[in-house]
Amino acid sequence: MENIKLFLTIVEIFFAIYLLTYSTFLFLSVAYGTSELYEKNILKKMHNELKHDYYVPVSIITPAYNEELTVVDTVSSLLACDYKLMEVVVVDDGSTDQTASVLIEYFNLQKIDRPLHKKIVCKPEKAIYQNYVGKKLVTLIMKENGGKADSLNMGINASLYPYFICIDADSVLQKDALEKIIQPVIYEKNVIASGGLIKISNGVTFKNGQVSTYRLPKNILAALQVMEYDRSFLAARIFLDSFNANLIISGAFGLFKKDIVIQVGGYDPNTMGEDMELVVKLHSYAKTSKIDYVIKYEPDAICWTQAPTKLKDLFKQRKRWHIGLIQTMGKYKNLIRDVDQNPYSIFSFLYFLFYEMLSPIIEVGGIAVIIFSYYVDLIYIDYMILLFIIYLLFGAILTLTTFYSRIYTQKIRLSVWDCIKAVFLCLIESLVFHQFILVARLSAFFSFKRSQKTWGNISRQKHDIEEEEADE
Amino acid sequence: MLSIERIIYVYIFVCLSVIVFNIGHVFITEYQNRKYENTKRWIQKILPNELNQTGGLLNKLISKMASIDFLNTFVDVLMDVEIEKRETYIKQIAPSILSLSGQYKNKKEVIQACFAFNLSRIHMGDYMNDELLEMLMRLLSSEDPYSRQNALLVFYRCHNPEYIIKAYIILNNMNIYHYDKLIIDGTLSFLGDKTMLGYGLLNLYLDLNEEFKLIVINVLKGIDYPFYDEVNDIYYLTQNMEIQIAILRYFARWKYPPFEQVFYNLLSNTQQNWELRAVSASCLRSYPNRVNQALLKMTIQDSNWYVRYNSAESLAAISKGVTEEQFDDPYASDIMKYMKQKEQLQRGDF
Repeated sequence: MENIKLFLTIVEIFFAIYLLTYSTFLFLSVAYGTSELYEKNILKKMHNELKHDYYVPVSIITPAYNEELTVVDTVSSLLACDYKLMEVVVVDDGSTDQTASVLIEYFNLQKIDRPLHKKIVCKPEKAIYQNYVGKKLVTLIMKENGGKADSLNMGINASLYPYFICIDADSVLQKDALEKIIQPVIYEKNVIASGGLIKISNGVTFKNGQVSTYRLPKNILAALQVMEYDRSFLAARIFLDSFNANLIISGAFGLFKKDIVIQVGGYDPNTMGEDMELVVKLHSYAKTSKIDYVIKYEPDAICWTQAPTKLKDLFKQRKRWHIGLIQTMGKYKNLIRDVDQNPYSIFSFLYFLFYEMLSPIIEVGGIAVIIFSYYVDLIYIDYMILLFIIYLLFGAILTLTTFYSRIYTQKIRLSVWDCIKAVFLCLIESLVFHQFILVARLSAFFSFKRSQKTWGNISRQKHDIEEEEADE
Repeated sequence: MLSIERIIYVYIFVCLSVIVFNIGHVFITEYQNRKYENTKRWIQKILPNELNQTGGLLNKLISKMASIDFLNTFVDVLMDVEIEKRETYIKQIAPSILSLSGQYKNKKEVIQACFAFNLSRIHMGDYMNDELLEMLMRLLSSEDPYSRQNALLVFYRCHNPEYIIKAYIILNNMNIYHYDKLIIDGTLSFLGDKTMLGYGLLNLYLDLNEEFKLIVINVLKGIDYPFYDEVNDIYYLTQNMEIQIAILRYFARWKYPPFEQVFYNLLSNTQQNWELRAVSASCLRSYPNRVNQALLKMTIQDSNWYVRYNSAESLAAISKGVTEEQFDDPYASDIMKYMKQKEQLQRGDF
């Protein structure tokens, strides 16, 4: 019995430290993120901005696999952006639906014989189509199926400009998103990448590249993801950004300096989390090569993406993301040894290791210990329940804080019903949704070795886009 | 364990306070928007009389302009007035507005920068006094790029090139990052005599660091006046490849026959740096003649991708009769075919 007591004491201390560190991190992140957004808002109001008509030229790369429903809307949203120097490169990764033909027809693309300078290895192209829409060049590359990373590499090879932006084919950019995502490059020297804010588009109506109506989605699963995304993109990212320690730029919307991405060999087609892998690889490469670099997060650059509305799709998506995380953490474990080079990104690496990658195992371990303690009658039930309620409340309040911060800084109007709904969603998110995600993440540990580099496509709907008003 | 519980309570309390702050902020913003609209309506009502000098509310307006929110609204309304009337009015009220510099110079930097932004919108740089100049120079020396940019905007939107030259000296000496394209395009938006500005920058050239030298060359390229001899001399003085490339592009924009040989020599010499060769290939399209066409026909088969690509692009632009069939080299043939197709696409007759 003494041994059991000792074991439980050690476990108790471990969990006390684990939870307190996590709570403190989240708390600091939310507090810091909120104050940063407030400051940014003041600066904007006071015209303290670096506005410029002619921005850095960018190539926008959109990898697509069976995206016939959304790809035209996505490309149209890109072309509608207030940005002059840009081209769009869509890479059709051997789709089995009409992805290519809807694009060819809609944008009147013409087949051309364009030689490509392949600096990064990728599967061969089958055909290339191009046309100018206004003054902007749209290129469609049809290639053999090789996965998302391979398609992005093809896009990099075909791109003309020194910076490229990757954007998912099911996403819609806000009209000023390109102008905003390039801001870090204008503001600071040595920016090699910058990530935008991803928001859930379910329930949102767009007009002229702007949100015309904002409603929390009717589908509860999508609505829960709205809360989750707001917390994740406000909290950790802004905080880690201040230390140049962000390890993720979402694959849905990110800007990269092309030459350095080519130097590191582009996206790794052998991982399921190619977006995180590239960012960690850039950190690692820049440190070992002693290059001054900055990887930024720009919360005003907004990309709207569709959230899965079915449990099965969400489960698949999260499992896939977690497999990508495990693969990347495994591949770059050496980063931890280079603590002298950038202690902050080591802190970030440890955060991802303990609070993201290993969290399903630790949390399930915690539940097992509770059951065991109950079995050996060494648990204070009342105290356990109290602690659980406090944690639930804390999580819900954090989520609600970030949700409201987002609403006012982005000038979104919410109905009273949605305000009330948000309170309930935060509670459900902490109580039920989190546990569901935990199971999805846990399942990743059992299948990451036999994972295949396939597209994690989920069922899509068309974006809700109202017809544009004619220019006066 | 109890202490953890207490810490979490503190966190919860702070988060709740942030929520209350956020909700409060929504209402405050709503109130500020309404205030802005009311103020705007009031200014719109009184401004026609002020423009005709029959209102007599100038002193009241100026005293209100000590508040940055009012100044923002006032300038917003003023920008909607037709340009001639606006300029006449600004000329009249300029001394009064400038007198605000004394009040604004003691405010927070973010407000000073906003004040500068508003002054730039109404071209107050033309009425500069010492107090304002001192404030702008201080903003220009700031660590904050927004402050620097707003100070620069005042200088760009006036007619005196001396301020820009002073600004270049300060930025150059600070050795701080200010995005070069912002400076180049900003300088090119200067409202005064750009040729005089160009010569002013050339006089400064040798005292500048390499980054600013590059900026000057790019500014000169954008000015509608050819600085042939001066830029040509710089080419032979510099060892910096980025500056050399900028000069090559300068002489692509400003056709200067004596420089044609430089392009030719660079491109035809396979031992030269590939970047200089590739840029030369691109620039030669500004000098269409048989000799250059013949060289481009050769370099379209070059081993370097970029030299080949740019040669093909130039060739397609200057020799309509050249087709892919004329090349045995498959790379040259492919790239020429693509260039022709690209041209057709651009013309819209594919």
